[in-house]
Amino acid sequence: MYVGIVIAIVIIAAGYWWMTQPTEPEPDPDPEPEPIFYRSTWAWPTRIDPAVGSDGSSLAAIPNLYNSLVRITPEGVVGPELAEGWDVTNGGLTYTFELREGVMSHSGNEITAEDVVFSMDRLLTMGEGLAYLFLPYIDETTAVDTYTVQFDLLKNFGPILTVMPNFFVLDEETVMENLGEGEYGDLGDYGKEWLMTNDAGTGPYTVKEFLLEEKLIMEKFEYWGETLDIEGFKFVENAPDIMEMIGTTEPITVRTMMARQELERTDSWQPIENLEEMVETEGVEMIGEVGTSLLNLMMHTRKAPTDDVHFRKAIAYAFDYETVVTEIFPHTTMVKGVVNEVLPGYDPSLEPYRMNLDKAMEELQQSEYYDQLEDIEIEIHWCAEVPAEERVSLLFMANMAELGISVKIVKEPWLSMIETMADQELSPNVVVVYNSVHFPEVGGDVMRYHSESAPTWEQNEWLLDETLDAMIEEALETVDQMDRFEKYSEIQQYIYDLCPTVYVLQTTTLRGIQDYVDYPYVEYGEQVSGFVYSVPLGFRTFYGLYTGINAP
Amino acid sequence: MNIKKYVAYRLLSSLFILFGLSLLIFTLSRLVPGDPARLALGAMAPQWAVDRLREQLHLNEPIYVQYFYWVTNVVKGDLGQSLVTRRGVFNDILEFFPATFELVMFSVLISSSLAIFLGVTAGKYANSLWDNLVRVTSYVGIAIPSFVWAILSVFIFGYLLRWFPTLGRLSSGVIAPTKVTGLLMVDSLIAGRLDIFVDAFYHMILPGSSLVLGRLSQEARITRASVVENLNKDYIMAARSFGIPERTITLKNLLKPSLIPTVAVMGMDIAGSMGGSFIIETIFNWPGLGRYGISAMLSNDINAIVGVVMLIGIFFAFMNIIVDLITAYLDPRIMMKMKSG
Repeated sequence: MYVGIVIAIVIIAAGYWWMTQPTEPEPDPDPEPEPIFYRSTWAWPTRIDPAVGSDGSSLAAIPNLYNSLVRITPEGVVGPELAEGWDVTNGGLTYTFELREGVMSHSGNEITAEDVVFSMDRLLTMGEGLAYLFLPYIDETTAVDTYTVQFDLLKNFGPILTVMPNFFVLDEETVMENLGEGEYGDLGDYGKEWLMTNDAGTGPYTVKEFLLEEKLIMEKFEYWGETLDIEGFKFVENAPDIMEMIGTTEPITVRTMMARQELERTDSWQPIENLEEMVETEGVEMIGEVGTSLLNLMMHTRKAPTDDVHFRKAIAYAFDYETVVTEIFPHTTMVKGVVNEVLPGYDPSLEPYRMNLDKAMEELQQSEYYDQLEDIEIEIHWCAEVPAEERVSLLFMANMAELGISVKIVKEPWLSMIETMADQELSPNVVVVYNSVHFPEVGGDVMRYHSESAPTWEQNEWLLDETLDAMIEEALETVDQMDRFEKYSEIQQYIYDLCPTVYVLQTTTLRGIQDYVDYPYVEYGEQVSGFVYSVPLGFRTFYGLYTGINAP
Repeated sequence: MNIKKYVAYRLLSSLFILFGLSLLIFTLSRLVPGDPARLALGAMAPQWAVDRLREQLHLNEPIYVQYFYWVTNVVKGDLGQSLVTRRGVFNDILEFFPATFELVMFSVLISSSLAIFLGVTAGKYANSLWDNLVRVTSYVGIAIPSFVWAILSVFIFGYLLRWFPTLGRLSSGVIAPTKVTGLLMVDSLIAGRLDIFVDAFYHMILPGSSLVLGRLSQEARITRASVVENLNKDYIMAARSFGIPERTITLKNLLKPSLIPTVAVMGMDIAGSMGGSFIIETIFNWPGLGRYGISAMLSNDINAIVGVVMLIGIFFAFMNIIVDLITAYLDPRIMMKMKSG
């Protein structure tokens, strides 16, 4: 029996060897070029329905499959995409977009204003994914004629054009052909189930196969580059024919695939040691993308003793920012204010909180809790799924000990953390959390301080400050950009004075990339105005960022 | 009681066990912190959307009412909707189960044949060099968890030697054959695609063998112990005294009774692998049920959690029955007891 098994294995191996042997080359007058692959690993799951997906890998996939009306150009301004131009009328309450003619979907249907209306209605009706960016503002979407679409706003929303790249247009006919049973009346499931593994877009790539829990395979949509003859919208030389988004972040697997050149780019969750090893032994390049996320220590402003502004400032001055960015999270940078410096509207005039024990003690002495320090213990919670946060918590504990403040460290699973942070009473004094921006402007960051966000994991500070709420609302409703940015400055100053948060670091997303992939925009260490490229904001990770794949 | 009645009785009693399991896992999944609807839609989703999803999931009802809805739907073949994939859990299971099943069956084929071979030969030549070698390596095999084997095998055979693929079920660019069973090796043969069969086989080797090693060691040790025990029995000595060839004694008289404890362990190992292969599936990016279950748990995907656990429970129940039947086949005393009721 065992001999039989061995023989069977030998036969199969021999067959495989025989089949994989190169055959005698025959002269081919017009040889078919080998497809160019671009394979990268991502944290899963990836949801490719534009009305559902909102996380990093989803927003890396979706812009390759779909187009928006407008896009953020590499220069950081709003530029045309499916729309050729737009008008703002009615005091900023009406936006009218002129669509390009002749843009065809992957199914061969022309994209018209009706498709745009359908897509926005679908997004708002479902209320999922990035719908929250539009729901408070969009009143009605109307097809004025075949190529003109009009958005009427409920109230002014200054950054709407900045947010618009997050609205993706679907081919209505394709969606309607694939409706399933669901909760939306005549519209069934609004195509939700089908769109989880297929696309109805116009983007430069189309879904070839989506193996859930394994990988998303996309192939080039050849027609696309021919239709939109615009600078920046053409396939670059050596643009990949096949792109694979592989759902793993397992370090040994990723490293092996990079070594075997079965992967062109790693995910951003690789341990720094793994990346450094790859650089050293596999000839892989390490790239850093300036991110918009911040790692924050959110301080509960409604719970003693962190309800005292001087106590909070003492904490902010006692924390060792330098050690974090050099020892715990190397390659990241310190925050220079209260928001990420790459965000438009950032105020550089604020002097950032840095470790200064004298100042910390001064603030502590002004605190109403100064005489009760022996009886006080503050609690810091960190996310069990992010082990490095424990080191931040331990550093925090050591720093606070220098002021005589006792700290209790609590490791908490993310699901439990969300539950805790949703309750004002249960929320701890301090929580270690990453915060991302919702759209590429300061408003997309500071909106998390609005009272509406207080019962969510986005805000453990529990500010519940009506003045700040009004300032945020007013800024977001300001159409003129310069005026809006001035208001953002006032908000930043206001938050700075309240000191509700210890801004630990601004992220740098590190990845390994094969040296045969052109990736021109970043070299590690180079400061780039990164907001255009930040993953959560919906950019073309694959298409727009590099010029092509060279032969390995 | 004949065999059919016995099986019917066991199936019926399994239903009670599954009922208990469903109550337990359903309640636990609802008690896990975090609102599943809020988690599925995100922190910024409007409250009305969250409320709508809560209503669809009956989360506003008491747990016993939710359970009633769930049972009613299960009877109709509806396990509810997954909050991660946004598809029916039943469809998801149909998609992911074959990958795990194929992996587990592959490893069973290797482990059962090797474990019996190693156990019998080691037991037969107890205290020999071979026996000592098998015992020592078995200890190593048992002591090292399967995920360590997985990482080691990726490192040695994937990274250093580059003999085998380390990711997924097929190579890049290879399109899966038309789905018939979902088992790629079977479907590729049905489609007459030997190249895909070989590719799928190659992808199976590292995850399959990683899953095997701990189990193989355990089963080999049990088989060995059983063989050593049976070798000293009177009926073996009687057989020898009759001059029956040693090979015949081993195959006809020794092997059958010695396999009884091994079969019981194998059955549980196989069932355990269905749910316990998640680490292997994660390391090798194997799109199976274990990976689906883990992603469901991390996302508090309540329907998927219940669906996956119930499926594993059903598998355990079936394996128990099958093990009992095989044991009865191997041991005539049990068979007689079974027949006599």
